[in-house]
Amino acid sequence: MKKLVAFAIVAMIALGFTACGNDDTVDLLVWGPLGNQEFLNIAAERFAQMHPDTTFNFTFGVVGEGDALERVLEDPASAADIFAFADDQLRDFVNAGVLYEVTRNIADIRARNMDSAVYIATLDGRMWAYPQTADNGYFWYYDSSVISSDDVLTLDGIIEASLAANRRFTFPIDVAWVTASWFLAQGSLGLDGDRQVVDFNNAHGLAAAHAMIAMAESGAWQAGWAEELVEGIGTTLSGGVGGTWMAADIQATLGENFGVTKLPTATIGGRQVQLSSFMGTKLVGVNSQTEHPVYAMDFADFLTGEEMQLLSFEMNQIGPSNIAVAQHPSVLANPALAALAYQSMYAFPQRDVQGSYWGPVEAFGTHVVNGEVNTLNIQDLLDEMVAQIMGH
Amino acid sequence: MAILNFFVMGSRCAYYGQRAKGALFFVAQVVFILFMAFFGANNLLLFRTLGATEQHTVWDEALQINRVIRGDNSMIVLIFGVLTIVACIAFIVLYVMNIRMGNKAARMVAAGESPPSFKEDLYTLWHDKYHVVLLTLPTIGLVLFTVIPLIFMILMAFTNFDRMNQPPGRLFTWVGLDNFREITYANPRLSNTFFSILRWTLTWAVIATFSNYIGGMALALFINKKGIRFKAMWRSFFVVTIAVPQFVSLLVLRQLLNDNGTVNVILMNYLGWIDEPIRFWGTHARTTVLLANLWVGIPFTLLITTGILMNIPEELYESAKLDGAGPIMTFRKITLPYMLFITTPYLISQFVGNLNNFNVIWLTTAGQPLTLELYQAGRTDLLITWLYSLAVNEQDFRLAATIGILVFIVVATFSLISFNLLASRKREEEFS
Repeated sequence: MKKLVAFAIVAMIALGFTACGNDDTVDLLVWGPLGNQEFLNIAAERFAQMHPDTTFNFTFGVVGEGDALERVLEDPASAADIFAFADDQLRDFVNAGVLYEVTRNIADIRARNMDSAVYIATLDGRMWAYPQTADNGYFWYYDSSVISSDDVLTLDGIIEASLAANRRFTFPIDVAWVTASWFLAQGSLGLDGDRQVVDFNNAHGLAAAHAMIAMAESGAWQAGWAEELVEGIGTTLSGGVGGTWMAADIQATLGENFGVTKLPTATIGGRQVQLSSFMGTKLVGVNSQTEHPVYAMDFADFLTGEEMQLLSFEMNQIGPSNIAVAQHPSVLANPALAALAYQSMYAFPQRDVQGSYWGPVEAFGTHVVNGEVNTLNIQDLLDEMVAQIMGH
Repeated sequence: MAILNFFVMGSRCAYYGQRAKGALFFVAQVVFILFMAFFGANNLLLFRTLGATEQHTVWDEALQINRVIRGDNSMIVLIFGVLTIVACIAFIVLYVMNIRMGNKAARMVAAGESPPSFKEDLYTLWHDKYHVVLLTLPTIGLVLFTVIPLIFMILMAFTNFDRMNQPPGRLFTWVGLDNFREITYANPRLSNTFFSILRWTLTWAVIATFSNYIGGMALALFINKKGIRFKAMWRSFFVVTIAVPQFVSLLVLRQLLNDNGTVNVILMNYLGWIDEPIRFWGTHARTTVLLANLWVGIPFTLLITTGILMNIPEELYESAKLDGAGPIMTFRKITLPYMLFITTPYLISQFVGNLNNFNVIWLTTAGQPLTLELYQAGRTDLLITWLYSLAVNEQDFRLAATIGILVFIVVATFSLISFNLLASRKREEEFS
């Protein structure tokens, strides 16, 4: 009997410990990409200093913005309280009920960020996440010793100058993110409820696909994406499509021949058409399953505020969504961010892209790269691509 | 008394002197009733529709937040429902045991014997029925960690759990056989993809298995040949490749054969044999993965067949020689039958493993190149990698679970048929 009583007491104490072990400290788990860990630590430190009355216990996990959806949905209850993600996941996150609506301090958050970034974080009139960057896009890098600033305006000019210099350029048409440049130049992408709707198989889409094939057969084009561009620019390559994260490497290689601008125009259906692109922001979300919604929201608010966005630019050259930071002299002087801003005039918000978009578009691009598309099958392939994007 | 036992478990055992046993039965019954009253009944009720209330929000003026009120989580409902059903089954088993043991005790008393005491029961358990003691823990582990998750996964195939019905925000529910219909005939885009990938999966498994087998055996025969010097060295060279983790070899191969990988650079820039890079992972990726598979597979076959070759009695070859048989004849009549006899189980397990060979495909091509001939799948996708992409990229868990079941059916069919046809199973004694 004594043993039983002792056992019962021990069990109760153990239960008691687990039930009320954390009444003072606020445990917050934060997920962000590997390159941002130091930045997150600084943000957490400063945030804690601003709230001296509360004890925070911050934990950090490495989850890239592209993987957030997959990782959070594995088990939302044990996922991070605050996590960074790419904006095309927003709709899935909201559908899954994993995001806390942004309500605290919302007037200020709306006012201090670019309209485009606020639009991206808002669905059906409600704001679901905190804009953190506005640099998720691509544009054109070039070697100005080979391509003049006039040549770079048109794809035909780039092809001609590259062939003359015995160089090539990269344009990853089998990367669905970039393939969109062609289809979106005169096409549209939208949503019907939760279904992705595109018109890439109409006359404009057909013309764009033909132009894509013409580029691939021009003799100056080469397949490849970031790695190939950074490796080959200045030697075998005259330039190519790239994003802000390659800027430092390419600038180091090219030195004073470093050139960067918006994407060129291309001859589509017999006339010059500006190539479009996807433009996205990285967002910070608060998990709807968090134990501390108020602290989590306030931290997300601080993490994406002016002070931290400026620091993020200084540490990692990340393009800000904050209006004041975007006007900062050092940000204005950054050529890659300037090119991105230029291209953003022709860009499409990536938020409205659904998961079903990527596979079929990559498949079509792959068919082009493999030289399997011809006048006989091109319309069928476009029809099939559009049908697959719109769902099974 | 016999009737009371139907309602109060353990009463009959206790009545006939087995007090401890009776008490255990009674405790089990009380625990089960309490569990059902407080949790189980509700679990089963929710299990019928996989949850009733959706997560919603309530405005909290003081905190200025739209407070999230959690609803039912269909996934948790599914898990708890399965656990409750397992608990019910366990209880039914106990209940039947209770009736039987009570009856047995009654019979023994009627026959003038005294029913075994708790101590005696424990004694027989420890001595005569020791297998029960030993197997109880593994069985519980098996049920908890293998059977229940398996049931959970299987049940998912009968729900509409996908991107649009994602907990915790939304509920998912039962849809019967809809997913199976969709994959096998109702949705041509999906069913064409499924059967097309199934064909490639089977082709891959057959070619990958036999190419490795034949390649490894040929190499072993060659090294084993009289007159080849430094046999041990050659063998070690190949065996060393086993020491390199498979995924490292595969990733290296993937790099080597890239469009701008080492092989292409050498062929193009140093030798000048080609003008354009060979697109190993392009349209002919299927051939390339089969070749890549040789690289990681042959050393294993070499290792296994070498041992067997050295075991074939030399007298067989000598007498064959005396009878005038040439090398081809001896291979056909002695070496091959001997090898096949011993290695058929290995071949079958290789074949079944290749049907689900996730590693080789995922680490080399990840299913690519994507093609519009298939729905959200690439030319080298096996069913298992397609399933993975659907679950991870598309959150299409219902289709993934359905494909999982179909893959299981395919694999189980092939294993059962081939094991039943197995020569070494039928003629177990012949070669010993």
